[in-house]
Amino acid sequence: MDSNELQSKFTEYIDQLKNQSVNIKRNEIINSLKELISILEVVYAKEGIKIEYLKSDEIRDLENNDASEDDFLESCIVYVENVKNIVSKYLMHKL
Amino acid sequence: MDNEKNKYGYSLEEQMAWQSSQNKDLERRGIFDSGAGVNEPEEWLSQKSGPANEENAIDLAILHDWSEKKAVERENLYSEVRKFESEQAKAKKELDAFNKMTSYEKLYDALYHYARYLSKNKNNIKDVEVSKKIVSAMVSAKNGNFDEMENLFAFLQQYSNSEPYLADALPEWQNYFHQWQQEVENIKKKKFEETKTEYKKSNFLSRLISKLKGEKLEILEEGKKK
Repeated sequence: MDSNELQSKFTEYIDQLKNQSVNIKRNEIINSLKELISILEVVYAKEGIKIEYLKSDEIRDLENNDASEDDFLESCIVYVENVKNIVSKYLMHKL
Repeated sequence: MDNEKNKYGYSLEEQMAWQSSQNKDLERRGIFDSGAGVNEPEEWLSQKSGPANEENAIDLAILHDWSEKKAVERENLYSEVRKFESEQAKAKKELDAFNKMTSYEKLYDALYHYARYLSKNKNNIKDVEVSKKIVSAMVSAKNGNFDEMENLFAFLQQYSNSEPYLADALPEWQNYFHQWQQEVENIKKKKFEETKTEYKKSNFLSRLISKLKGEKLEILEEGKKK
């Protein structure tokens, strides 16, 4: 698959995402971050590197059906900071 | 003698006298002709003559009148039945067509007719304004923006306090609107899931997952060989 085709699929995906509710968009972001962390976990296991997560109870707020915008943003920060640290650790290991 | 009487206690003579009187009575009325192959009352009447038949003629006229009256009544009844059946068939056709309509079509049909009804009342500025409001919300919602329709329903809820017809119809219209919103959301969601799947199939994360799965399978296969 060439990059133009990938770009075209990505554009269609984003166009449809724009029509979705805020809740669906939130879930999409959180699920993408979780998916990325899971993949990194598999790669780390393969490389024999131990992952140390940055823990925070803030992500538990999303378990409530009435999670606020604040709850979502705080959870996002927790997941993004974890990704940043995990990727950086891997790159340090490789460089 | 007792054995000559029938089971009701009448003698043979009494029975014959009663039968004769019955025949005469029927003959007199023109309902029954006792002989000579005369079948039609008119024919029977034409064969009679003299003052004694004046009474027959009057009776026959009454019978004709009654018969014609009954024929008209019967025709009116049949006509009513045909009309009812026709209306019933029309109503069934309309109901079938209505049931086949989508929630969007039902809502727009109802709002369109209500807006048109209000717009006819040109002396009432408020009615005309409400009519315009409805049309504007319909156009906006058709273009994918439901906010104006939501506001319209909130407005109509208040407006219905002075409009009994609207108060009765509004819950059903709201139901159509919610069903339509749900249908639109489901279509959007389905389309989104399709494009997401297509994108995910081709992005690099998916390719990485496939590669890792392949390697995992290879390791498993190696393990089995050992």
